[in-house]
Amino acid sequence: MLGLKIKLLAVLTFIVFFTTALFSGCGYRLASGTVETNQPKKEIVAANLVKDILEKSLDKTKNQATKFRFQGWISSKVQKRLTNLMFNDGTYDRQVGFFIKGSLLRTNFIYYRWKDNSYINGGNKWRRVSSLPNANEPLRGFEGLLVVADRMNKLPDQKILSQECSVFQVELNGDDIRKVIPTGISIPNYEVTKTFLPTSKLIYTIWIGKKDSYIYQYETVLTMPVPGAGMLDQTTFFRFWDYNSRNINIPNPERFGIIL
Amino acid sequence: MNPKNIVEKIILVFLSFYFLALYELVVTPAVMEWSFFGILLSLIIVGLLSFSIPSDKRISYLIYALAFLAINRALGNLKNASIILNVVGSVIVFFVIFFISKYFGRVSFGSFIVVFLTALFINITFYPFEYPLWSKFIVKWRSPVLYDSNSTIDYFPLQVANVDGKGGKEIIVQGNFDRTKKSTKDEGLDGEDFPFQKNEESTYLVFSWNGKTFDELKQGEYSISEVAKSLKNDYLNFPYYGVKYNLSSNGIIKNLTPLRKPEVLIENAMVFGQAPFSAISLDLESIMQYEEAEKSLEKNIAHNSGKSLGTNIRLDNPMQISAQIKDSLLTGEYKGKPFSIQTGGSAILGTAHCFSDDSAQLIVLGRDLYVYSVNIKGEIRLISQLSTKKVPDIGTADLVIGDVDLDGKDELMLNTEYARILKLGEQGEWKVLWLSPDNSFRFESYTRIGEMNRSEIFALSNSFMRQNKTKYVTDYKFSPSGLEQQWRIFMGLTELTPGDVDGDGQIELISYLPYKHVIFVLEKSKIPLVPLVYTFTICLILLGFYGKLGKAKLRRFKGDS
Repeated sequence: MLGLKIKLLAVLTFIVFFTTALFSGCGYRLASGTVETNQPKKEIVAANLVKDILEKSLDKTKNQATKFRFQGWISSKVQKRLTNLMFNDGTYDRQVGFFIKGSLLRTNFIYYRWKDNSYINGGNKWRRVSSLPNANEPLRGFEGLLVVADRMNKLPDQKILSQECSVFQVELNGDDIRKVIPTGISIPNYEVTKTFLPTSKLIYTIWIGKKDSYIYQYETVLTMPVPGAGMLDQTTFFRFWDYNSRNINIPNPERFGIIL
Repeated sequence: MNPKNIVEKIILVFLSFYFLALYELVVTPAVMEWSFFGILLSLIIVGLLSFSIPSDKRISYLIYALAFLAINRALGNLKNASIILNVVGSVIVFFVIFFISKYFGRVSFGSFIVVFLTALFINITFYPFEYPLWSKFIVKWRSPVLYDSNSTIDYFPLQVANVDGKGGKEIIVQGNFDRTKKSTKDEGLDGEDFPFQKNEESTYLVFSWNGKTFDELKQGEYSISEVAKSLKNDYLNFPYYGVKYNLSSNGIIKNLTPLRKPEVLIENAMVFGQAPFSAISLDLESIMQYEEAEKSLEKNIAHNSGKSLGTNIRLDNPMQISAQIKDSLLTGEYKGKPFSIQTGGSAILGTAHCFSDDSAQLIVLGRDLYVYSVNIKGEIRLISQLSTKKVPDIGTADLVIGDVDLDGKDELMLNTEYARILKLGEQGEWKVLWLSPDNSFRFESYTRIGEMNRSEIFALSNSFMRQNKTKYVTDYKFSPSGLEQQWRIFMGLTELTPGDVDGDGQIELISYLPYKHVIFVLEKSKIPLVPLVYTFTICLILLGFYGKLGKAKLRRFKGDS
């Protein structure tokens, strides 16, 4: 008899719970408000000092970084459309090459450069591809920044993966972009270049280790007009760490069953 | 077979449908929407249901329910595979689930076949991912698979416009479904396992209501230039592809060709100092191709039809306004009066009536958002400019226009990283009526479907399960204190486009299921299915307990005597 009462009680509780759940306004109430963008404070630093720090960093990173890990992406947004080239997990060893796990337009890939040979795996099969001659010296191409070093703003120091870093930022317009373009890259000379490059804007931010002067991170945000759709918003972001760490070892090609 | 057995089998068929409805319309939404409480509620429902089943049949019914849901899901996943794979797969599913069920409890072979056949029937009749729709909609039409699923494309834009010269509106979408019909096999490029290597070729398809269903119109049955005019700017897979349009006997074909091999993109990005600049170089190449393609399409169409393209906003809208931007000049016509003004914008996002007078506003996007006001004399002026200082990512915005606060003036529902509703004041100042607290919210349309008595906001937003990134179709009503959620459907549709495409005078919702490349024409359902399932559940539970009580009484009575 007692058991039955308990059962009935259970049913009643359930019905009460159930109806409240049904009729309670399970709304997604969202309050209104205003937007405030927080701009970090800028410090004024003597131009030649920035140039010295930058010069030292570029030189050291280029010549002394023999091994490091990296991660980053290039993402491009036009209205609703967003595309990504992601490097989720990368290692570099000057002696050998590099190894990347990433994705391109949502397709995962593994990319593997062993000395002068490159291989890509976009599913379950390795395929040999022709490699570019200069991709094995990845920390090049930052020299252009020296041209605009005198205009760089110093932002408050930041920690990047426990490394204390100085942060520098510069805003470049279309003409500046042409000035800082690294050797080996050319801007195609189309009609659209004349229309859209001059009104483009690139905000370049770089994080330099205070202790060891290595480049630990950089980000560029490009806004460029696109015909009939407002602006392209393109972010390039890369982060580097574990410089010259002994733990970095890129496995032999045989490990992946690649026959050279 | 004895009659009792047959009745049992019929009940089982009926119960299978009920299991599906319970799972899709009660359990899943509860878990997604109320997370912990939802799980608790679901457990209580399932607990009470199983408790109310006579104890000798409890285990086997639970097994039938689970087996049915498993079979249904498995068959659903097989749906896009080839016929052979389908048959072999179904047989494997049958035996695997049968033996697992057998292992757990007393399951009769006959009943299991009934469960299996019901699942098979449901899978043949319905699209396996459409069940969540039933809570609010009737699926008026479900398109065939329009595009290869093994591609880099997530979805194509949807358009509703009158392009056949008759009264009704047609659905315009891209696809290569002629090819998907013939074979889904790739055309042996060297990177066949890497979809990025392929050309992505799609034809603009026009679907029209024939009184029973939607048919694809052949070329000649619709006007190509009307289709071309209604196309949205779509930077699909930008900047990795170049684009070309071809006119063929099948209609307008859009061909996307990868501009770089994947290895080149990867190695270019790998030279980190150069990466942002090789990207710019690629951007410009892609933009150049997009612009060339637009021009050539315009030229070809004009050549074929004697008409010219290039109007972004057309005269046939109710506001009687047309407008276009060419060489930084915004020109057009409002109620027969021409206007023109220099502009910094490149895209006309829409037209609105932001004020109570008879002027019209043009919303134009460039680096900033510009609002131009034109009066019936044809006088036009810039009345407001919303810059990146106020909204950082305004340049990549898109918007929905509508009078959400019902004051007779239009507001802008702006999709930026944090979506917001903005109201324009007489002096060109902006008031934020609502700001999304998270960056997952997207306005899709503002409309009144079926017999709704006022327009409501259709948006895509995350459920309360924050880890789940799928954006679900959600209906909101605007109120001064925020947006009130009316309902949500746990299906990740996109491109929610309103339009009366079947000529019944009521508006349907047309939408696209990304990655699966299927479109749905949805009509508001008049049957309150979810409350029905709840009620039925309560009845079942009560019936079960009543039965138990009866038995207990009987036992007691027997004991007394």
